[in-house]
Amino acid sequence: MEAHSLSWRRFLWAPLLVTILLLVPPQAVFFWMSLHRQTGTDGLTLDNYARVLTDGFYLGSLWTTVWLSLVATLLALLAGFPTAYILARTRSAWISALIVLLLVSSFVTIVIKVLGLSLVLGRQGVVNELLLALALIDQPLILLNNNIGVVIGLVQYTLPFLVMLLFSVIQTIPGSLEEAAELHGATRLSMFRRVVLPLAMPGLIAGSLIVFNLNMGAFTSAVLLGGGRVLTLPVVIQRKILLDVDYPIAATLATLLVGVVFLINVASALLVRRRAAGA
Amino acid sequence: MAEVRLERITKQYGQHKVVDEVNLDVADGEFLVLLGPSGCGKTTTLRMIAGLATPTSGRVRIGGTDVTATPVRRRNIGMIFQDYALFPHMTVGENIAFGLTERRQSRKQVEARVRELLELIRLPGYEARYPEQLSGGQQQRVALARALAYSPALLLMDEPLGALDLKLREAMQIELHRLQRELRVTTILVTHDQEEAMSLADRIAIMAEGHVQQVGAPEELYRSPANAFVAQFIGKVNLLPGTLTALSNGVASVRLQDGSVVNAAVNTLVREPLAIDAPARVSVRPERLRLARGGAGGRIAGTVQRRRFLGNIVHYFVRAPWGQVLLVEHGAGGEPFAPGADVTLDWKAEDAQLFGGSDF
Repeated sequence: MEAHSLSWRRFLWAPLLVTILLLVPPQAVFFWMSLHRQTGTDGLTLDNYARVLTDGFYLGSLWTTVWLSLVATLLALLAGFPTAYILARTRSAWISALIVLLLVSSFVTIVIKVLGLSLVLGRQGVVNELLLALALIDQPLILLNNNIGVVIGLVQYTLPFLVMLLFSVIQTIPGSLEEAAELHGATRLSMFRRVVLPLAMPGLIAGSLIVFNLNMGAFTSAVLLGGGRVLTLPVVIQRKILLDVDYPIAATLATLLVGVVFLINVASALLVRRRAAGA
Repeated sequence: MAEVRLERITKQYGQHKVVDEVNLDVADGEFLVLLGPSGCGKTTTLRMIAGLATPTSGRVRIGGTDVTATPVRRRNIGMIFQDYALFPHMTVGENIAFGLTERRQSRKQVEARVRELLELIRLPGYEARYPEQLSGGQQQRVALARALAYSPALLLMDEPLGALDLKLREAMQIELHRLQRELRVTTILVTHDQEEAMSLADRIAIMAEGHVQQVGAPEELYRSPANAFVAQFIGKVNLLPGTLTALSNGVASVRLQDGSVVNAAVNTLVREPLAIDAPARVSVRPERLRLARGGAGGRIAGTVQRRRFLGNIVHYFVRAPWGQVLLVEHGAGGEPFAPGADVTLDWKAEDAQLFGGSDF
């Protein structure tokens, strides 16, 4: 029996090594690049960081990225949580079919999804046609080539994941707790606020962080729905590499992006721990 | 404090009737137990009284008022769930106070009431603990305190003692009985454990297949079961199959499978039609059977298969001439019968009851 388990462990080294090789060296190379003024020159320098962190353009790009990611995360939560709740609490044969549909929709390549959005959100797209026909607006809304389009794209991409994640979170909350709350006098709203929300909170925070991280690194939505006007950090990085062929600055920006995301996640985790300890 | 009335309550899923036209009256302050095997509809009935399930048809009245359409939270009832359903993220104090804070009572009132309840359930000073820190029995008592906090008109319990070990279960039964007597709150408890039902109930309503088979005090159900199902579910019973040969004045004659004819009393509660020459069963409780040395006398002959010594009583498994194994219960003092011994079985005429030949 012991020999059996030992040989199993030996097998795990291979995938671990592959993962490390695919993950760490490229990041390390990028970080190394960011410390040089030009690729190939020697002399470690923090000049690139100084340039980036004092340039309004780059800082603005960073701020845009964070802001859009935040808004998209909140919108996804607002749409996703009630959906997940209804899916989790309804007893019907349709539910599994809907979950499968959700899962399948998340397999569709992002480029195709975003392309579809760009058709739907255009000046003569379905959304505008519908709103005009209902006389809710008299001029077509500009939903593309701006922040709005990008946010819509981000939400569309992350929503299925969030719903499925929150679905399993809510399933861990026994239905008897909700029944007990209502029976002892709570309105549906009160029950939600006092029982469901607190118990779902860890899952909500974890899900939100995952969605936020995805949004921060999102590239396709920003490029295809931003029309070249929404310059999030990933877009700027791509331009630096392909147009300006400026690897050091690109590397600096990439490291900055990773660093900011990392810091935000750590800060959130600490905040959660402090709230849990204080409770 | 309120009485409860169920009028023709039915719960139907598609073609399947889980609860079928149940009528039930529970008096104010009474402790009624809904007893039955799994799937008999007792829990569904309880949930319909609570408002957690909607009847397909029928009415629920609490305190005279029709509450069938009233939402759960306005029925002013307390309930203990099978898994206790204590809020894990709240302290014991907050759990108990849940109903009170929903009703907007002042903080001082709430704190005083919580302390009072913790005294009642014998857990003083436990306000700040969390449910996960408590044992099963303690959690159950907290659930009880939470249900009683706002002095509801009705207390419902869904198999509350199922998860506890035997000693704890017995201790909790005594506690529940004491509290119910003290508070005089109308209580309906659901269980599949007939001993629990007998020890707690003022009256028991036995259910099977969505119907109430019989309602009555434990002793009544034991001595005069309405059908074979009730006889078998409460306590142990021997059912001797035979054919009905005569019937007059509430006394039946039944020819058993070894040819002997015995008398059996007919319970006035028995609703099945009894025809001459139809299959019938004679039911006798194990403790009403008397074993004697084989030979003349006695009603049927038998052979002892096994003897089980249980401390205060002895069980004998006796093989009847037609192959059926009967259970006989003697006090521990009598002469022992060894396996293989030839014996005769006897019983008093009034201790045999007649049932029809079908399942119920």
